[in-house]
Amino acid sequence: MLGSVVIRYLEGTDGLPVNDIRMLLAEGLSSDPMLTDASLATLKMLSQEVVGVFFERFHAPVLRAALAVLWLSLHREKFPLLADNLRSAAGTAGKKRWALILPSSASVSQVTYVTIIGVRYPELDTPSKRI
Amino acid sequence: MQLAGKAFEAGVMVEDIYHLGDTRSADDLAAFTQMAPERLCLGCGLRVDEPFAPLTARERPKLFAAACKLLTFVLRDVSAQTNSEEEEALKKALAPLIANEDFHFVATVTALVQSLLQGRTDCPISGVFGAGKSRAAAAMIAGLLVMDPTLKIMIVTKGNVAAQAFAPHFLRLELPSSINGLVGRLVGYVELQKGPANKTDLDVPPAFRNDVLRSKQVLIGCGGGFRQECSQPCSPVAKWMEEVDLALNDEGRQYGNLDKPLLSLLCPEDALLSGRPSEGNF
Repeated sequence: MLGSVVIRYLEGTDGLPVNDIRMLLAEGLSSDPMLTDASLATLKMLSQEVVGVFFERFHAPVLRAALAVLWLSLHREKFPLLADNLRSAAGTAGKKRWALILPSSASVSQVTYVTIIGVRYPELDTPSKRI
Repeated sequence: MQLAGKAFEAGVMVEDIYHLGDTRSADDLAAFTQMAPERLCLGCGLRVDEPFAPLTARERPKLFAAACKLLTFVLRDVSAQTNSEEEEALKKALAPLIANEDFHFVATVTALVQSLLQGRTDCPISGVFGAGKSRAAAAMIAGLLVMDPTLKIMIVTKGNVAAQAFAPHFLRLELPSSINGLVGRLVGYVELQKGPANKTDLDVPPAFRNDVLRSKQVLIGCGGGFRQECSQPCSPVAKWMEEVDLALNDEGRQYGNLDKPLLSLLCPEDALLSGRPSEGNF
């Protein structure tokens, strides 16, 4: 999921608020959607810092990851984000080896999903269909 | 040979390329021999481990600033302040995409910012049919254009059908003419012979192409016409592409065509290429 890509760059770095943001993203990767009080406070702090406003819908894991990415863009010098070889830059090696897959479709019926996606894209057929 | 567990490296020198039973032109094949080292991974699928100078956000200042501004605008959603007619129209157009609980559009913009932060040259976006990839891409490009109308963006699709399908996605956003006027869809002779149902307001016929090209910031081209344009020695399209900030290759994985290597060759080294991943890319 998107949060799992972002969290790679927060590992290995300690201090506030990095630890709190890491915990916030880690909770987004679990199947339980509820936030702890500490993570909710972190979410409010993060959203106020990067966009100046807080909405309840920021609880969604994708939006948490988006806020974390914006926060990283404001503090990018402090983290080892950059690709330093051609394979990493192309996204075929290391931490940069990721791509975005949009897993759901309003146009696909259940029959089509089972017969085509289950056969050709089994990696999309997971219990958690979150981005 | 006791190679198990050992890294095996060898330099490879390509002396000549032979094609047997293929209809590719010499110009198509020349794309590979002229490929810059930075593009070898993308264009040829070669695993190159040479170090290179990282692409920081400062080397793509316009695209990075516009992408961050767009993501902030998207997250602020209904509370976003608008400073112009274009931003007001964009806010109205993006509202249903942002509110959609699949979050596909938000994820697409986030992936773009993340790729720029990491200094990547490639941002693959894949998904099942009907997931909304082209729609999200069109909305993202429209958003980038509103945030910075000086950005140059190239969209290459697999054929005229996809090029004709991408343009309506853009037009459905109903942005002001000051934004729509910056977008052009390159149409060739074959497309012009089709009925009026295939026409869009973004079409740039061949007769006016050289004059109109300079006023466009976004060009939509299909595979065959795009390759023909770029293979010409003094192609104005190829010249236009030398300053591209972002290139999108829609349906780039299909049909094993050479569009992606050609796109990799013609775009500047710091341009971000987005599209479906090539084989073995992740």
